[in-house]
Amino acid sequence: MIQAYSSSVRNDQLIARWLITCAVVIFGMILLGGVTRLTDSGLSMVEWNPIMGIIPPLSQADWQVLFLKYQQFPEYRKINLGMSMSEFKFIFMFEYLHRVLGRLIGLVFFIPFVYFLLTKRISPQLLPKLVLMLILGGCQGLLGWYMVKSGLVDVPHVSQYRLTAHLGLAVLIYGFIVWTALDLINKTSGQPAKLGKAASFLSGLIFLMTLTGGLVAGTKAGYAYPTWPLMGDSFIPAGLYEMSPAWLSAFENITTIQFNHRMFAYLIAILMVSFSVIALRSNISSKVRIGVYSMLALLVVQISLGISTIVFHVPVATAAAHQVGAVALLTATLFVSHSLLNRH
Amino acid sequence: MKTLLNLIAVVLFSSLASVSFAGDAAAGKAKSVTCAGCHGTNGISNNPMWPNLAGQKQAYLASSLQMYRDGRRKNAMMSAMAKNLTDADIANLAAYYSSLK
Repeated sequence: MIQAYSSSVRNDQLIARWLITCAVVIFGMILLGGVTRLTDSGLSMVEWNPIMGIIPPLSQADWQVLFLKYQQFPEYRKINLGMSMSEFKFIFMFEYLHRVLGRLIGLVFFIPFVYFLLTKRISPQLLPKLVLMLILGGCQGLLGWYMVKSGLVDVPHVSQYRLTAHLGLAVLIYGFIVWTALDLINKTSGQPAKLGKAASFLSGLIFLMTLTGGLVAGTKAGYAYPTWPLMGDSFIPAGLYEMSPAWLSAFENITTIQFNHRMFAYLIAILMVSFSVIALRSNISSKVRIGVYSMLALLVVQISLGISTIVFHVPVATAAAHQVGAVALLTATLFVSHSLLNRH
Repeated sequence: MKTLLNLIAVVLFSSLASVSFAGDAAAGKAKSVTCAGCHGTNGISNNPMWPNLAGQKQAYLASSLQMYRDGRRKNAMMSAMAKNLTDADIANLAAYYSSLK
């Protein structure tokens, strides 16, 4: 059994490098997903064909067929009526690239996985985690299509619940991969583990925060109240939690959705700064110290991007940067958490 | 006597009606910051999903906002936005957007 796989520092580093590569590509995928959403491109491909769909339209006739198919759906008829072929090609491109990159991530994960498995480099503790990543990755593709389907209907907008699930699962898979890679290469000891628990709590909050961000994106709530720090005329806008039951407002009322996202940001900022002050005053290693500073810097960047997104009426570049800013902040927070928990 | 009462009523109502329609475009512009996210800073929307408001008929703008506010017209975004508007806000916004070209 000891000979079943060859465990070595070198193997761990190799696998960690592969996992980090996957995480980097997924980071890019989350960026591309944000752009696809922000350019209203997501409903341009009205069919789902996991294998043959990778072949792009190669001739003018192919494009005509695809455009005609799109024209059968409510988004064209109700919103994009009269759209030109070149405009269609533009929105098609983002959705197509998003799907191609999705398949590519599958390969970047699967091929090395099989190689490491056959060369017995995967430890028995690691194997179930990698298999779970593979399953979650497959689910993410299905979830993407499940989301798109919700917009190919009479009211041509994808459900904010499905959009949030698709974004949430992406961030979850990303975090899981980063954490697993850290387990292989980030060995620490003697760090104040209580702070590790606090940092893990912060990581959890940031994950929840990305979900509330998904709701903002899914309802286009970011276009409302392009003012900061006030929302329109007041800090606490009229019409909060007015649906019945009241909790439904947190998911479906635009005013409440944006208000909650703002309040959640203030909460995270206060907790994260407090945590950092305590951590930097404690006896932590210089590596963790760098992690804490990075986390703080990314917090400032992320809040600035969020405010800019609102105030400048959701420019694509700013809003997409805000989406991946969350993932970058999560990465720094996960690194700090992992380091302080003394996992090895 | 009855004619006189009728006359007074007509004058009263028409003056009321004109009060409710004569919005202040400058005040409307100040209030329109919240609308600009979707309808553009000059009332020209930058997305096919949302309409331009510049030059729209004043009475139509006012009645649409009133209907969103009362729930007679339903839209997740507009219902939330109109909820916060007073009658004066609605008149001012209608005056502002109808004044744009």
